[in-house]
Amino acid sequence: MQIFHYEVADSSEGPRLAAALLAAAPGWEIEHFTRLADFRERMHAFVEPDSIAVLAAANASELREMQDLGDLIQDIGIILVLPDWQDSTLRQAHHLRPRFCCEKNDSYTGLHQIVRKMVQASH
Amino acid sequence: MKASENILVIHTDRQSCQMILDTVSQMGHAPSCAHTLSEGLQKITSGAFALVFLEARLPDGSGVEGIAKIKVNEFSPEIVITTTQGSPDEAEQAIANGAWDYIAAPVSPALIQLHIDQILDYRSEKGLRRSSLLLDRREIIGNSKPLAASLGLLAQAAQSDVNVILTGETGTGKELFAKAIHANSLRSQGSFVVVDCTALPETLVESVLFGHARGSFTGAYASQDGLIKQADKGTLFLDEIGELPLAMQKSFLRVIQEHRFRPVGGGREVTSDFRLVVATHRDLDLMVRQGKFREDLLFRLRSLVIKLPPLRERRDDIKDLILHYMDQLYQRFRLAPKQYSSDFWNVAGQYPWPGNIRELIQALEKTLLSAGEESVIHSKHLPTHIRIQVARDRVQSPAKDPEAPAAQLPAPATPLSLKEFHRTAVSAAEKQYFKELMDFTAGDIADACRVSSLSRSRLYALLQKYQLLPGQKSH
Repeated sequence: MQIFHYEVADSSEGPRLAAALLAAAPGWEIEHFTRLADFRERMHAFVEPDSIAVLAAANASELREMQDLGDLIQDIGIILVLPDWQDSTLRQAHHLRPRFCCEKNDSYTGLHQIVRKMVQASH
Repeated sequence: MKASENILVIHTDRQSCQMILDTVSQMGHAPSCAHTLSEGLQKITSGAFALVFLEARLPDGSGVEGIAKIKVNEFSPEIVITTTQGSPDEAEQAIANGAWDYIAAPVSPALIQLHIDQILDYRSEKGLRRSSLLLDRREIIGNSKPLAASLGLLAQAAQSDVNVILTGETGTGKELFAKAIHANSLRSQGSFVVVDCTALPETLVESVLFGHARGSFTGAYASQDGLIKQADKGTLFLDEIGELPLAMQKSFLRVIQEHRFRPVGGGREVTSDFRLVVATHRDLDLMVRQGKFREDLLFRLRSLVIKLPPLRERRDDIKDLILHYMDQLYQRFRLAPKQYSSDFWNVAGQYPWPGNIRELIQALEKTLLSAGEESVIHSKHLPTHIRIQVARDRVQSPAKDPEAPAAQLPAPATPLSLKEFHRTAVSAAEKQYFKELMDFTAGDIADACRVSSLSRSRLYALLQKYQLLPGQKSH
């Protein structure tokens, strides 16, 4: 299992989300990406089974770009941090078949619990 | 393998009813029973029945006249009329109304079994024809008979709105089937919402499913719709429903029945028009008996059950699956397509794939990594544990292999004593085994020890005996 984290470089959420991930998966080496193109490139290489990708979409346009990742992420447990909780955003999000979604200004308590459970389940 | 079907028995006489129910159960199908026509009609509206055994005369009406009401159900079950006092006119009316058959007492278990077999074969073929013509199969690869049976049910599921349970071992593709049901249904323009019950901690289940009102708990800064509401006009897919906490099962039962629920901390009820598909690798009947799963919830869910076959039961599909997933992997890893040796196909075809398609895909990824720049993929590129398993299985069941040494032994002119025959046969078989072992391991003694489970000294002794050590000439 591997853990990936994508979030645009200038995101105000960056340190909070990274900290939540680190707390949920202590001791795990998390691969961080600040450009979606770099994350896509990484997905062209070998990924261990049961891996998790936490993807923070800055806006609706970036969420659409994530959908273009298609087959590259179909066997990965996707957790989405969404820009808002609008119906249209949620409809787009479900194309990625996420295991969990939360909003970007969330406390990340739920995300923390989900990641922790997925990490524990992988042992 | 025949898929399990729902079969309803509408009969007043409890003894006859029980006999039919027992026969249905013994054949691996799911029986239900009703003792009046109205009770039977009610059950038919809430379940996907393939067949109804209907008594001709019921306390609240004529079974023969009830045929039309049953046939209008979306699954249009076949109907067999049973009666204690047969009448030619009634038989004619039953057939004219659309019954499959009209059978008068005595009705034996064998006769019931015969009707079930014939009817389900007929429906299965009808379903297969429909599925092959109409289904968008997405990533569901293969044409084996067991898979075709599941696809027939998928086609039925897609054409209706009933609850579906997908069962099958881990890695058999339950989520792919759920997606295909959604994609082929009238709800395909709505969302396909996944609820991964294994990932959801118990403390989160309620708010994730039902949503919450602002301020309902620490961190609830704003009201949020839950997944059930997000599935409005679409499909809600509960993966591994066996993991849903018992306390939640009761709340969820009400949601299935009424499609209404109250978000956490919310004052008003919310509605959602969703179609439900669930999946599990667990035996939910056993969980019910163990008190870990609610029987009423299982009853509600079990309108249509689709059992997905494990890969070992659909070996005819392995080659197609490998070619399909290899193509995906070539694209993903940006590799030029490779060729495959016959020994690769042999080993891949013999391995039982206990982790099913998921294991197959993971093994193919490792195979490609192992093959590197080589243009042909051989069995040696497969993960070692797979090659070991196949080698061990070959040794443990040599008779299954038509090329096995025992089958190649020449028949002696004069029969040997049994003891002598044993000795000769065992020697020939062992010699062949060690030849194959050394070929398989490319002469690597450590690898050969691991595969054969022999100590190094014992392996050397046997190789020497059969003159298979490097430098020895084998006869």
